[in-house]
Amino acid sequence: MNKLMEQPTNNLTNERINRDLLAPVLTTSWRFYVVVAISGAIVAWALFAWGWQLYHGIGVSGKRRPEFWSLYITNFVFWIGISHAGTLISAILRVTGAEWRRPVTRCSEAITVFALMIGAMFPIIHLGRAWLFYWLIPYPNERLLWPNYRSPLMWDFFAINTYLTGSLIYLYLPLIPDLALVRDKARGWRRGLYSVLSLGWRGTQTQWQRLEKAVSIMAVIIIPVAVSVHTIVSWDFAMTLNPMWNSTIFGPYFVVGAIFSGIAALILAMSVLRRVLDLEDYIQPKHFNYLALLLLTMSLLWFYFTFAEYLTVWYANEPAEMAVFWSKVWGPYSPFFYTMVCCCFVIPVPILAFKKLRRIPLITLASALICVGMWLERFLIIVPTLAAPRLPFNWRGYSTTWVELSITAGTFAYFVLLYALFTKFFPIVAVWEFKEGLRHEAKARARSEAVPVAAD
Amino acid sequence: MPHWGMVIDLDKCTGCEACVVACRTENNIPIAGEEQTAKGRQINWIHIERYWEGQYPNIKARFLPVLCQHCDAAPCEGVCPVYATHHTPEGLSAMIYNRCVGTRFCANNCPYTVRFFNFFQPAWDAPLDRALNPEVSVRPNGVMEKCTFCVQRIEQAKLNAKMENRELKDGEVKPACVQACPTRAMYFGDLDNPESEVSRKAESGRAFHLLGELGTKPSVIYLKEADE
Amino acid sequence: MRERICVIFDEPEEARRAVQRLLEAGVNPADVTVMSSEPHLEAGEFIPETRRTLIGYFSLAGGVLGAIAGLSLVYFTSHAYPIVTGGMPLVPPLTTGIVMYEMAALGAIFFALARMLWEARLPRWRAVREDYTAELADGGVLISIKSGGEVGQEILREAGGREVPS
Repeated sequence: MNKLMEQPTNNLTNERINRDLLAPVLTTSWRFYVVVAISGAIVAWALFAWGWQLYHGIGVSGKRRPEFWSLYITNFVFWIGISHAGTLISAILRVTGAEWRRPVTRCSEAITVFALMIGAMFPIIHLGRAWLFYWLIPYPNERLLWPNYRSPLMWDFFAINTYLTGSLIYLYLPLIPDLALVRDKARGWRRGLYSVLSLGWRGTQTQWQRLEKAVSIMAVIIIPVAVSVHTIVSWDFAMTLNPMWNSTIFGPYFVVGAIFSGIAALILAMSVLRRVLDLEDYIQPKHFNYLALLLLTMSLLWFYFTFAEYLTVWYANEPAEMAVFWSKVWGPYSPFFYTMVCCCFVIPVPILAFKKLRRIPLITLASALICVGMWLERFLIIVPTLAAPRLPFNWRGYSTTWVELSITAGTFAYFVLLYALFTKFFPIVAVWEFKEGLRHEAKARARSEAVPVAAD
Repeated sequence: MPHWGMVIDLDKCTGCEACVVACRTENNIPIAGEEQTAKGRQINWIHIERYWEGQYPNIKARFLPVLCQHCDAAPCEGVCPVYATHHTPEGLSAMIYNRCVGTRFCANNCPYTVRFFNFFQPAWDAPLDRALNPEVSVRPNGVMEKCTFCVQRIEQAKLNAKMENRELKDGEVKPACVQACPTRAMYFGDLDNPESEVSRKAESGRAFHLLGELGTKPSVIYLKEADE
Repeated sequence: MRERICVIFDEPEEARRAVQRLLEAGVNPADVTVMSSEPHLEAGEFIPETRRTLIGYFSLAGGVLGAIAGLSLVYFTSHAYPIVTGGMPLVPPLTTGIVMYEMAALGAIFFALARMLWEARLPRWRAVREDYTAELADGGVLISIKSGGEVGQEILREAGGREVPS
């Protein structure tokens, strides 16, 4: 391990941890207002664009026949993919008892919740009659009509509903003791707010035991749910008869892509947080190192799946599939295709594979590229297939509009806004988990010092 | 109960597009305008596709009228989350406009791409706005639509027969396109009745289904051009 | 004498020894509450728990109930208004399985949460005012004993804790 990886955790006292980790909650810097103002303005513009679309019709968003879906569904898949950062990573690390997880669990769980909320908005934004979205919800109604459970969109509804509920609870449970901590440290209106939110937590022995038990059970449940969510999102496409959509590989392909983009988003969030909130002593180079290795694995897996997908299509050489294949590889979508391959594989892999290059600025760069690449991947899955249906009379190119681009930009701003607000109201590093980790570390060190190791 | 079906004899089709015009008039299909049509937002429940066969100088123009195939195993129907499209006992793939929320999933899963979306509020230039068919509902913005086999004409014919206390006769129901075809290239009737004209035509050696290899069980049967 | 006594220990090990002594002196374990702002459970419990947790079983039951709820939802509502689509059966086992799976997970999550809150006696906002001190946020372990703790009071003070107003 190089020098960067050594951890300066020894000088972290209880008092300092409380001060550092609660500072963003208890004090507000000018940067917070700048971020909120800028992202809020973009969100307001996107809301205007959405209003424009509601008033005039879906046509203003660039959709046409045969591209009935385009950037909204791209964003939907992308954001649901990002949401796998969190809960899944944090759950896997928790279940496997990876001690280094502690400073990153909270910020990854928050990514999950917000990305999922934003992702779940898109099926509504893209509806022709968005104001009737509640017709998809199964409830006894005056129409005497229940939804069609045979539709993959209904599976989406159930899966996202379960995942959002689960990840909200999974975010909230470990947050309770920290809310109690803020309650004890805060004055004024904050004290009242956190008293209510912390449910009267006192940290009794029973409470701690039950909490840790519940969190570990949630972690076990949330992993299969997260896998099912992106599998079902992929089935929106795989269930159809369309060329290059009707593929059995789509489930795992999408899950791998989701975790891939999710880790990238997590690394981006971490590198911003540690700079902006002065968390360099908590979110350390070693965390970037571990996550970068995980990202490298996912990058290789992503390439493997992409290769398998394109190889099987090319070799089978079916005309309808080949039309889509060539439009991506050599046709009008090829610039996007090769950008995607560069962003997801060619550039990140050397950065992440070589120890000399695996440093925070470059890891962050690779993560940013991967986010771009994975967005393009979703776009390349959706639009080229729709642009080249089975009957060639219907082929048609696609171009987007300001409405669609504004709403897309708006959701990125919305994510930043929600995340900034979250760090304002909740400690972004799990305080109690971090302290617990320090004690485990100290104990492990004491043990290893007591017993001479052969390697010494 | 009948199973409605259509036979289109490609040998007789001249590509005159009379069916397209008849369909627009009968079914209150909105006018998209030049700009939106260029962007692919026009609606044509039935449209004629032209393709070339052979090499110069032995080149032939071929025409293929494409409309909703009313598949018995329709890929579009299952994917609708709100039951806006479903299969009737008479073999029609029906659209219930009121239920549609506009997910457009059905359109994506139609291998024939014969589903159309109202990307904007429908509009007609004067005086066409005064020539709407009162038997057919006008579809609002944000709703899917497609060929219905002129279900209003089917229902009217059934009602007439009932009033006169008789069975429905073969060939009595004529969708607008069938009625308008100057070369009589289109036939409509009950595929379940072996005596009907469509059933007899469907047994022809020239009969085929569009994209039949997908197994969607279409109710539209094409008769290919005879060899010369 | 006061009804309740709260003593804070800076070191968890001191607190552990103090609890040991309290129990040896015959103080009812139900009257003793040990609190901390971080879990000190890696060395074992301060007071032996008499009631084991049932969160796991509840979660399992919630999963089963959720799956049944999913199946019932699909089966009964599909039959209440049968609509044929795409030549598919009304309740295809494969697609119904997906709904049951998600509902099972939802049931398991809800039951685990509900049972956890029940066992941890949350929410209880009043307890914080009556039997707690905000000082705990800075670390240490708080031991509180309920009425009749004359002996306990003595022991806790001797053990080196710092008495705090509750």
